[in-house]
Amino acid sequence: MINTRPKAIWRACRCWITHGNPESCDIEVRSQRLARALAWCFGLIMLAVLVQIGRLQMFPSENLRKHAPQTSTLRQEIAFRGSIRDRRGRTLATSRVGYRMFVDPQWCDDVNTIAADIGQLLGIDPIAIDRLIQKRLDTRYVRVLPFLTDAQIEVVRQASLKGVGLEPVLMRHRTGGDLAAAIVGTVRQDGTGLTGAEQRFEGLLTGSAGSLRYLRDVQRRALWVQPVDYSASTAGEDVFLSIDLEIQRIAFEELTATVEAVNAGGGHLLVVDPQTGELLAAVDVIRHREDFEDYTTDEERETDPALGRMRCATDMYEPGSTFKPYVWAAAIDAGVVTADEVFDLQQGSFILGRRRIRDAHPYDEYPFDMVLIKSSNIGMAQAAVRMSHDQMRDAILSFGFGTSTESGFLGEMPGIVTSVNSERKWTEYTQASVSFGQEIAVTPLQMVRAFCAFARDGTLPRLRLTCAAPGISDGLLLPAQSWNRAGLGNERRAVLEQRAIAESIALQTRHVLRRVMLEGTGRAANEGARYSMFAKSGTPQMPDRVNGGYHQDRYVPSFIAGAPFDLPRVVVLCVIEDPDKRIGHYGGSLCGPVVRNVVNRTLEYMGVPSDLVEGTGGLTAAEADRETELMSRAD
Amino acid sequence: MPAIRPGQVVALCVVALLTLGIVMVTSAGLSVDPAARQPLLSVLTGRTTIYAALAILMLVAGSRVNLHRLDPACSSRRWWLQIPPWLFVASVILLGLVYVPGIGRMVNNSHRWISLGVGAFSISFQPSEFAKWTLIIVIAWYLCLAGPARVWKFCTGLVPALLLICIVCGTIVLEDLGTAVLIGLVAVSLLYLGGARVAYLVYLSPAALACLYWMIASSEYRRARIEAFLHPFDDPEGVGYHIIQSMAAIMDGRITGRGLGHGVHKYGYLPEDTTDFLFAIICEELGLLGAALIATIFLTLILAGIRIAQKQQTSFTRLIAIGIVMTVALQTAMNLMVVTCLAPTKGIALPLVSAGGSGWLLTAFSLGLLISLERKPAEQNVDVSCACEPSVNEIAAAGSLSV
Repeated sequence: MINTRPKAIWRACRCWITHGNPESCDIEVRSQRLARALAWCFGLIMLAVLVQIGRLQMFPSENLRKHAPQTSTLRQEIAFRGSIRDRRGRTLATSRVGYRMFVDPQWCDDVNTIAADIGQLLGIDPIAIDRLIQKRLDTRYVRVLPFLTDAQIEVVRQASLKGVGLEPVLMRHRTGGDLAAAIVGTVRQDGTGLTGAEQRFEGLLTGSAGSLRYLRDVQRRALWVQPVDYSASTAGEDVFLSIDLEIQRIAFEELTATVEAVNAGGGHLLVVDPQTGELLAAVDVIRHREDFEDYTTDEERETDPALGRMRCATDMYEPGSTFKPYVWAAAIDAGVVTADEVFDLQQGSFILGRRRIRDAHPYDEYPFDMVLIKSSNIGMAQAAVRMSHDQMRDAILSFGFGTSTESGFLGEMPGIVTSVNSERKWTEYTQASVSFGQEIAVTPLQMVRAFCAFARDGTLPRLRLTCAAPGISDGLLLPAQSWNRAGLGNERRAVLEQRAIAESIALQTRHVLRRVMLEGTGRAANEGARYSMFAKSGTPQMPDRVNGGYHQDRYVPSFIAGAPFDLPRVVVLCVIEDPDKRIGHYGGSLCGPVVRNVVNRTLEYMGVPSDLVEGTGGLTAAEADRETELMSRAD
Repeated sequence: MPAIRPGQVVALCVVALLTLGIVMVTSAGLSVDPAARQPLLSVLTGRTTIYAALAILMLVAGSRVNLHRLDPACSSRRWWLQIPPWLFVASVILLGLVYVPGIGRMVNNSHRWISLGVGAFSISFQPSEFAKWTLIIVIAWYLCLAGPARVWKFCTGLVPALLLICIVCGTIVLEDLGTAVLIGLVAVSLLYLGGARVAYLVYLSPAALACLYWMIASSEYRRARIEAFLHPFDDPEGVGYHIIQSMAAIMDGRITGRGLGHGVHKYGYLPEDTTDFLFAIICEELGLLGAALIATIFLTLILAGIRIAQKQQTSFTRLIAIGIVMTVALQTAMNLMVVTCLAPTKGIALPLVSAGGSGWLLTAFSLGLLISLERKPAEQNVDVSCACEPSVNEIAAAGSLSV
């Protein structure tokens, strides 16, 4: 049956084609057939057309998508990056619209001569431009100049070279110069933060880019914008750093002058407001000396000061005697010693276990407060060994050593406090060493934060790199949303208080440290002081990075002070690396005057009145009265 | 309430298509140039609207023509004194004029247009448009004159008719293959209806196909069009450009379109956006729904036309009705298939929608004739033996009016 069917159809067709006669030909029948066929065919064609339209609209082929003309242009609306300002609103870094030049190789009249035209126009080397263009001939965008000056922009616009375009981009300018470059940081070519505050506050500084999609004709002329195709850009927020550019300048001037004067390898200087924890200035100087084999280097800093690391946060050092106040306060707080207990200082040489401890100057005996004032290693070691290892270590940790200050600097180190459980356990030797600032590594930031405990009520402030905008009453707060965008989570409170010691002991220690200025190693700094400082100096030996151990005649002197005594407004730390011993190397005499000058100038700038009485040799009114009373008693 | 008659449906469809044509041609003709603003008044008094109004007048004029008077069965005159042979002669002369320097006008490298008159008073039109409609009348007249018995024969019946077709198509095919194929298909269909033996038509079809093949193969741009149809993406910037732009415009329309006047491809992307490829702009701006609307109107028009043809009681009017309907249907189908890439690119306009002067007027007049066929059968029955005065000045007027 199936086999015969094609034959039957063929027979019918042949019959229809070849047979018949004029009489059998009925025009009406034929017209009916043709009309029916026409109706059906036309209907089917219309259906096919609609199906094809539906297919093209709903399931277009990849080829069609690829080759369909681009009928719209998407233009990114630049979102201005927020400015970085100092605490008084001075601009440290800001953005402006600049232009970079690009070439569309497929739009140029002659792609082989366009580089020469540009070179001739701007007076630059055309070969480099030509290389860039020839590498990417098949693209529509070749960036040839990343930044044009205003004069170049004008020239290019007037020339109207076909295929050459100017693209607006945000240019970042560090208006504060190099003074605070390491703090402010820098941005990448795409405008995102790379280092410093630019990186740290990326979320806050970055705005949301807007976009504008406009339809265009075949000659790329804009037609119109549909309402849904435009979104406005939102500028980033300004960030107010706690840094004060003027205090930064003061600190920089004082430090660099001394570093140069004593042919030192570098130094750090930090100024902190102990009440709020705001960092007012942070200066880090490296000075190259060709005749020294091992000196600190920072190659990135050579390229751009903003690329260098902020060593106040990233580099650790042994604090030496500047660490003694913490141990002194811990010993008093632990109750193992009282301030007036007399210590036998063994004429400057004391054997503890199998170790000989020496003092810089031989002393016979001193009460414990004088041990700190005279900076006796022997007295500190004798007091320290009375504490248990855990007591001593916990006390040090409570001052914030061994943990990062979370100030906001990139790569901040937590310091090194020997662990009780590590292979190299905390031993009696450690106990003695740490008491005078050895066998412990700290960062300058940790030092100033810990010292703030004496300038406050025994609590540690949270070090902060930001503050509120000028004029906002609560300088400690930023909007919660801003903090979250800045990646600071729920740490909304800028001040994170952590108790280090009891308030009374903090005040007691501050009194003793004040006496350091009057009777101890700070006397050199006290000359010319206009504010009552409480301070401690240190003159540790410099570690020998090549051979291990310590250099015998190279030092890292430092001086840390707070002022004014009654209501401290600043804490200043100065560390000078490897000064020329022939010129001076003691912390008190070398770094002390630097700190004094910074304190004097800073507090004057801040409008703090001097609390010292003239003609008393740097005493406050209360101290002068007490002195007078003692003198009269003695008489 | 009386039922709506097929003729009225045809008239409504024509008006609807012309209205859509005005709107879409105006939309497709929009310019970016702020100096070329188009207020509503300029649209209403513009060239397109005027042509549409004239087309409606032609529709009315066509509907008033009594085509039965052209029926050879009603005429007592000698055949050479009747109107259709002279229409044929006029068509051939006009087709030949396109090659006469000073009269013929070259557009897009083709001799398809003639200009008559001088300066501002000159009018241009495509003679092939005229021939397309007149050949239907001529073939129908011949088939009725010869009768089925004679048409059945090859030499004395079919060959003269084929000669008429070959003269017209042969002249047109040199410059416009698409229109020639369209005319040829309609004319051969009329031969079939007129009683031609199918065997002869089948035997001749290989020769016709060979001619078609030769016409395509001998022309570089026609080969390129076939190539572009088969592989549009092989040369997207060259031969495939046109069809890719058309498909892209359709693709961007989605279901509801970008909105009237909001198409983008008309701004230089899609060539011939107001004429042959206007349907792509319709798809872009009105989407699939707009395309369906156009298809529905055309389908309604064709079905109404077929209904009118089926009602005809004489061979002559039936052949003319079928010829008109088939011409409109084929032209529509060809245009839509070309635009949607279902057929190779061909310069065929969408009837009554694509911008055009002579095309709109002659198509509207022809559809008017179709309407007149519905209105006249009773009169024809009564007046078969009338003197059949060949008062068909309207037809002649159509030729002279065509612009």
